[in-house]
Amino acid sequence: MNKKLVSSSILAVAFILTTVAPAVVSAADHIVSLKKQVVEKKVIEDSEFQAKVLKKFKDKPRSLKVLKKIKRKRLLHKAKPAERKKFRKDLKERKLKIRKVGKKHRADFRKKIKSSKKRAYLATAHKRAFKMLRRFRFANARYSHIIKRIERRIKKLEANDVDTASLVVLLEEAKNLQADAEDKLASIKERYESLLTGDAPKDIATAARALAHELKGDLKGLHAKVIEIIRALKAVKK
Amino acid sequence: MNKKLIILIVIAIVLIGAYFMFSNDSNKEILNIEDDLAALELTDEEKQALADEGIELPSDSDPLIDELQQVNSSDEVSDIEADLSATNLDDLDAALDGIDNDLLGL
Repeated sequence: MNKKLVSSSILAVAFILTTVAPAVVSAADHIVSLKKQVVEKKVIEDSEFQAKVLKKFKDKPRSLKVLKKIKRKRLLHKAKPAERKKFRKDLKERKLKIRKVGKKHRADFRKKIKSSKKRAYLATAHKRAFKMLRRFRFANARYSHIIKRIERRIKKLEANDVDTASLVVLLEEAKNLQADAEDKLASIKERYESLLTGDAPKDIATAARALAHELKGDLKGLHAKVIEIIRALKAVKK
Repeated sequence: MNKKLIILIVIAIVLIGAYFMFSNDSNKEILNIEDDLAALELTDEEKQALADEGIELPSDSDPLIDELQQVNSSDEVSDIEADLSATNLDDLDAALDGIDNDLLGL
């Protein structure tokens, strides 16, 4: 009886050492690496971001034009929820339209452009652009996800009779920025889809590049806005 | 006495291992986006034309996307802050120069 017990215990310990223990160690390593990432990645402060932007515009006076364009193109600045809802509805239709036109460009691509070399260059640029668009889209989706979680947190505070009026204002601003970013993303996709027409591809790429720069700036602005909300949330909690 | 103790230790170790294995990522979520960004596939003739010019097709995998896709699901301020800190925006547009280079050959 005792022999059986000892041998089964040895087997169990061997199983743990060979399968469970390495998993535990790798899980622990993973946690440590995640914590390291969290500690090491610096949050972009508002002042730091502004200083960077100002330096960039000082270095490149032409970028001021882009800045004006950004301000002009922020369609949803201070928009109310109903206006944003309508904006999103229109955007959904526009995205469907862009998708439809994109499908047509793809269908006509090999009929219209006879040179395989030209097609190869265009299709490669298109592929690279779409890979970049996926990055932008995931970044925007990440902020959308974060905003929803903040909203949930605010609702919990409201349920505990905490005054969240100032937080709601900031949250609305963040939602507007996020919707604006989504709109700009659609515009960039529209440009890159038209690369496959083969008409003036360099001009298309230049226009898309300017939009991509704007979008990156917008996402940084959204990032700064979310940091502002987090600070306000912490202040409310205290 | 000894028998029971050994069994208890073994069960405890197995449970601790299982806890670390399964609870570690329970708070994590993978983001999804609209599936309308599939790139146009190149034909063999086009791939050959590209190879002749010494240009490599961009790969389908993207570590930055893998990073961006992973988020916490909790609404705890510390978790939201962690996701925010882990959001890397610097390399979003890193492909722009590559796109310009691709079009230089036209």
